[in-house]
This record gives sequence, structure tokens and C-alpha cells, in this order.
Amino acid sequence: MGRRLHRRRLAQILSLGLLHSSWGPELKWFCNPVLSCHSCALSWFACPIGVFTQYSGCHVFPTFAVGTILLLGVLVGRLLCGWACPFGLVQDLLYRLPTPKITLPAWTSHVKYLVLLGPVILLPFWLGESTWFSFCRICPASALQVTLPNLISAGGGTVGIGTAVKLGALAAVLVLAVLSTRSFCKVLCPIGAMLAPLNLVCFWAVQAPTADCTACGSCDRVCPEQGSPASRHAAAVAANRSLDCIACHDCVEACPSGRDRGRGGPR
Amino acid sequence: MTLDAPRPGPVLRQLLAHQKLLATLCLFVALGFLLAGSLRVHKVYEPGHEAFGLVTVHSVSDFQLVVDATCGGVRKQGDRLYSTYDRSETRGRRSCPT
Repeated sequence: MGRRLHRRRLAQILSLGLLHSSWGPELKWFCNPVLSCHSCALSWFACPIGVFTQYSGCHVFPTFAVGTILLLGVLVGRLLCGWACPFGLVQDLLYRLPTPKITLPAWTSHVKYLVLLGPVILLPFWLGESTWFSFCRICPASALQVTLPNLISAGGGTVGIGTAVKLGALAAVLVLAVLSTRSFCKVLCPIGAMLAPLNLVCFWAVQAPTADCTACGSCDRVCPEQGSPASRHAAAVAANRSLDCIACHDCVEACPSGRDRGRGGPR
Repeated sequence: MTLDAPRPGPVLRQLLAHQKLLATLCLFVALGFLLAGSLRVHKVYEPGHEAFGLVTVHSVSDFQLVVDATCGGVRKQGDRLYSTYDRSETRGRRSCPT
């Protein structure tokens, strides 16, 4: 495991602890663009998806929330997906399980935009904030952080259809995370869909030492999003200038000619 | 020879300048949204207080409406937003109704 991967794992674990360590105080006016349910008893921040869904249902434009997401997105793009998202950590760890792996078709990465448009914005707008067709009703982070603990603390009991659907969605997402790397981020995550376009213009740049590139393909092999960073390295473009890049910097770490020289940071 | 960063050719240099312009524009738009959001106030009505034409209205900032959004603190009815809890009480932790 490379130094940078160690640092990333440490950052993810720290983020998991810090984001879920509220002993009472809350900063829920702040939408933190990572998948973490604000209904969790220990959460500090608001989930942008839950906030957007509620605002949409109330037919109110989420001015401050959009400003927060846009600001963080334009500063660091999807860096938080790679380094701070607790659900990303869960997927990274599950993918390490020794099972046969699959590669999802490239077109599946467009599904997340439909998820953002449908169950996050349009369906709550048409059907109201408490509709059964909102993303929160099937959110795997909510199922993991809220539904499951509530079910366990209630000692099991009767499981309603809504809970069963939510837990089923969680199980499907977790199984897919074992089989395909960062599958939820790539296919379904509406926060990723919000931040993805900002990857193309954000101030954060993942830079590999491209003058030494021997086209060995190491960067492509380690990319958790299977996003072919080699093609961007070859064109001397920052590796994160791609919709699906989570700025994990694994490609820079894997580069045999650039372990000490590749870097990431504000350009 | 130091090879820290990619050395952009003329096309890439143009692209980077274009991206920088877009990023700066996005940054200002984001700051504009934050400023507008911090100044914005919403009218939230108290339910069940409309007998005899008496209406209780709260002026709620956009910050507070984000907090309300995390716990289903408002609901839309007609053209109005109604509070789902007693705003005169000291606020404790609330969980999401979903």
C-alpha cells in the first residue's frame, strides 16, 4: 500500500469519526457534500440530498445549500468523494474482499444524473417532500446509519414495506460494491452527479509527471473509478478533468516514474 | 530536469485559461448564492392558529430552513410553508420523520 493510499485511508477514517461524533451540538445549516445521513444521531452536518429533496417538495429554491455545494465543488471538485465520504470508505473496504470482480458498462455512469434529476428534484417537486419516491426512501447511507440502528435498538419486530425496500436497496448496493469498485459512486450517487461537472473546472488539479510517461498503464489499472487517467496524462491534462474522477490520487501514486514527483493541489 | 507538473502546449494553455475563467466565474456565482442565501428570509406559518383570522407567521432565515429540511421542520400546504413543530420552544435534537 502506497504512502498516499495510507494517507487517504487515514483521512477517510478520520472523516468517518469526525462527521459522526456530535454529542448534541449540530451545524446542520451546512450541507456537507458527502453521503452521510443527517438523521443519524451523531451527525454534525446536513446531507445535501435530503435538503434538496425537502426544498424541492416545498417548492423553494435552496439558495444557501446550492452556494455551499458550488463553492466546495469549484474549490476541490470530487476530492471529498475520494478522501472524506464515509460511504466511499465502506465501498473501498468491501471491494478488497477476495471475490470475482466485474466492470460495469460505461453507460451506467450516466444513471446518477437521472437519479439527481428524478428522485432528488423532480419527483419530490411534483409529489411533495414526503413522497415514497424520493431518494431518501432508498438511500443506502440512511439505511446503514439510521434504519438499521433503529431496527436493532427496537429489537427487530415488524418490518414495514418501506423499511424492507430500503434495506433491500442497501444490500444490493453493498453486494455491488464487493463486485465492482466504487459502483455506487459511479452509477447512483446524486452528490457525485452534482459535483461531477465541477471536476472539469475546479481549482484542484491531480497532476502526474507526464513527461516521463511510458504508457505502462499502471494508472489505469489502479483507478477506482476505471476512468482511464492514462489518456489524460498522455495529453498533459490534469487527471481529475473527468466527470467520474474522485481525485483519490491513486494514479499518481501508481505511476512508476512519478511516485515522488506527482502531486495534487490547487493549480 | 524537474518534471513536477505537466508542461502544457499552447492548446492546453488556452484550455487552462478557459477553465480558470470558468472556475472563477463559478466561484463568484457560489459566493453570490451564499450571500443571497444569508440574506433570504422565508415566511413560515404556525398551523392551527388561524381561527378568527389570526395568523402567526415566523420569519425564518435560509440557514434555519436548511436545518428544518433535515428534520421535516416545514411542510408545504397550498402556497404557504407551515411549521411542523412549536418554534416558541427551545430546540432540542430532532430526528427526520422519514
